Amino acid sequence: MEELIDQQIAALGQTKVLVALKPEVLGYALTERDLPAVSDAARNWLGTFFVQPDQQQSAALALTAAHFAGRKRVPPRGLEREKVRVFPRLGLALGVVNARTVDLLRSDRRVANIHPAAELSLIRPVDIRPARGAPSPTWGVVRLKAPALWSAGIDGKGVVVGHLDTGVAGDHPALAGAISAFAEFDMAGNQVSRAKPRDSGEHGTHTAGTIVGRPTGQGAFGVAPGARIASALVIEGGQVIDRILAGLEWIVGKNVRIMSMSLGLRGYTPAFQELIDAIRRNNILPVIAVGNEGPDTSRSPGNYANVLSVGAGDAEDMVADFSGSQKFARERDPFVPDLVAPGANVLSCVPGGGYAAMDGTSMATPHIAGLAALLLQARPSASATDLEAAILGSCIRPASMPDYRANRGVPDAVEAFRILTGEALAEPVAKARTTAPRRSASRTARRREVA
Amino acid sequence: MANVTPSENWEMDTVIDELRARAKRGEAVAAQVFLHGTQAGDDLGEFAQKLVGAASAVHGGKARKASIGRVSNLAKSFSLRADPEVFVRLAKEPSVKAILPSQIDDVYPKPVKMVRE
Repeated sequence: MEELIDQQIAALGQTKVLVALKPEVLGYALTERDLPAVSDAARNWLGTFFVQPDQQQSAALALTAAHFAGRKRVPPRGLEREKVRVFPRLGLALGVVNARTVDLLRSDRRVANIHPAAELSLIRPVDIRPARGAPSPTWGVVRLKAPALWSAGIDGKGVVVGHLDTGVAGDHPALAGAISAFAEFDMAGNQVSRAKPRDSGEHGTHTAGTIVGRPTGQGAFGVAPGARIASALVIEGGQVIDRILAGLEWIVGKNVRIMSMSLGLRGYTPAFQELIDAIRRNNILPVIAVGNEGPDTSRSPGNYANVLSVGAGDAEDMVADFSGSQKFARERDPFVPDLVAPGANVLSCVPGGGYAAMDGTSMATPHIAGLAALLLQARPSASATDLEAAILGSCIRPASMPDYRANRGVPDAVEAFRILTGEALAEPVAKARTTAPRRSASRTARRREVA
Repeated sequence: MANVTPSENWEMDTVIDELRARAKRGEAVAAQVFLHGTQAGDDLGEFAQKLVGAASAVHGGKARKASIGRVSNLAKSFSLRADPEVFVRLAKEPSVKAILPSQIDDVYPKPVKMVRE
């Protein structure tokens, strides 16, 4: 029970609980006349243990609940007026707690038990989704054939992916239960104690959603919706190099096998080579964006020979105009990117409970990290090199993608599975991948912003 | 075809020029010093101290302003706040692979387009 409460707080920053009070607190024989005074007194001292619920989160919960109940959204009411509701006859109190106040409640002698409030089960749409039909997967996950692995029960469960970015909005419904660990590094690169999952921008929540986002009414956009992330907030601002290095050290300590880095410095610098070498020695596959500056450009360390360098393609199997690509005068792996993944019109979650479609190699990179997570679940003993070989070996370059822009082309989850495990997916399962792609966000008639 | 050498913006001379431009008169500036791993030895912190001490000593009176920050064994790197001229000395050390400003604005490929749902 305590574990569930802690998990919800870790994921959302707060959670609703039902508190059972010891009988002597409210009196044994309440009369109707006693009730108001007893309730007021209890509300006064209990008030210090509860917090005002986050309105955005309440709205997101209500939206999710309404969607799955097949009715119009009903705005949350009531809780904004009072922090705690006391039910004196039942000896119960209901309210929202955070990490600090739940500890206070647990140590208070007047409290008998604390239970997760049942209402919060609504935040787990993945639990109730099957009864109402699965949300459509986005074009990106379909292009990689990830749904074929999902149908075989491979959704990344048990895998933790390192995520180095602007952070992650822990209160987004699509990321409930998807954050294994979170660390924030301040402007000087020092870890912020007891930091709660948050996003300093929007980038990190979007990339996290592409790796591990749980299906919502907006669609199934997470490639590995059963996996979790260990996320470090390291960009942008301050002594950013200190922050990035500190975040990387932290992630390596989390024993991940896959690291998603939608970041890099324009051009080539050998500065991070020792770091990447160390990451590889630690049996971690670095999946890194090549950059958004177009042909004959790239970013470091996404342009190193020993990383999985990712470019962006679109739903028409064209390499996106902005996607970086470059040839280096080196014997090993002279071309970057190594491959191309869906990176145009990519729908995922953003802070505030919302969703957005973005274009960029930053969006392509988490697709590959998610694919690697699926493969790692399929063969948990696989090394980072095994995962990389399976992904690269599965790539097919469509005729519409020139080799100097796309290199090996686009990976295929089903083929990568076969390469890694030596087994083919069963045919009835493989047929599931023919799910029609959903146009995750219209390419026309929607407001476009230059980010 | 690109050479596997630093882009112009990351050449040490360019970086040091930028550090000089950032440093107000007589003040220190922060940068990250990256080492060739094989030359750094096992105790990176001690190696960094010696390296910075020697560079600061050559630069005379600026020595007291050099301050080593976070040391990353993983990256064979350390953060340093010092007078830009200390970085000039460090750049000449064979064990120094690269120097990057600690503060860089453009560290991730920004989304090219964004459409809110």
